[in-house]
Amino acid sequence: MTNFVEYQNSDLYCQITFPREASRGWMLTVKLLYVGTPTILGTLITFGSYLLTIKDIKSASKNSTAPYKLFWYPVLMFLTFTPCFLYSFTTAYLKRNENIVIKALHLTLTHSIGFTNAILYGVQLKQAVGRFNRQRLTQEKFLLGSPRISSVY
Amino acid sequence: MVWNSDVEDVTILKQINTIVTILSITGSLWATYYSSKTLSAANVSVKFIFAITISDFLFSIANLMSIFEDKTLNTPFCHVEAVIRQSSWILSLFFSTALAVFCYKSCNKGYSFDQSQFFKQSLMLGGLLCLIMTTL
Repeated sequence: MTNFVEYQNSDLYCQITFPREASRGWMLTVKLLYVGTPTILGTLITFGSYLLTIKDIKSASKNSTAPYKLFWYPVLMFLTFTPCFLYSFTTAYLKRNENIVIKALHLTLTHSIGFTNAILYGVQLKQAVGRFNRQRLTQEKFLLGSPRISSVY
Repeated sequence: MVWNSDVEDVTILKQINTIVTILSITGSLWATYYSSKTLSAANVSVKFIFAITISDFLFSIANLMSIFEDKTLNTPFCHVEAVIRQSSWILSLFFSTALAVFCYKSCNKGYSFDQSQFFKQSLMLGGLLCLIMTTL
């Protein structure tokens, strides 16, 4: 299925694997291309974007600490993808990773991405939907209560 | 907790994987349900969240597949699992980044920023990236 890399079953799941004779440089290059570059770029762009957004919001409304909540997004991204990055690179560098702590961290933090994203995005989405519904209800009440518009209804 | 033998290590790690996979599937399903309920509101940020939750769900499916994977190397099942894992991982990372850029552009450019166009471009770029990363 793949030409550039080989997917095989490692200890726990199927992932990019290398033949025994593969050089450390080649392994690190492949891991950098498949894991390192996307992770570093993604985290840096996310961090930069939210930093600039917070700066914009702060300049519009001073003395508000609410925009700082946006920092949760890059922090979560960092916490989720860094163990995966560490695991990939230590495996490529040492050729076989026996460090159980890195493996456990990788499994706990990276594989729980659906759960952590659900907490962050899902809860905020639920709050936003609630806010939107309340606003709509208030708007409807206002329109129905208005003497000019109530005649239309 | 003592991690001193390979067999014990793998057993414990598999248990961790099973627990986080179940949590992840439940979480991503719940978030997908909430975001799909509000998709009709034509809010582009909700569409991004929906895309993230779908990617997370696929990643969890790949993790679930690994629980039933035997140690036989190079099976077609293993290839399917690895391709789902790699593509969903890339998509989740990509859409989270795109949402951050979207947030900044919405704040900074205001009405001159075409949100729907940005979402369409992100979808195409994400798909292309995913295709390159899994078939190379």
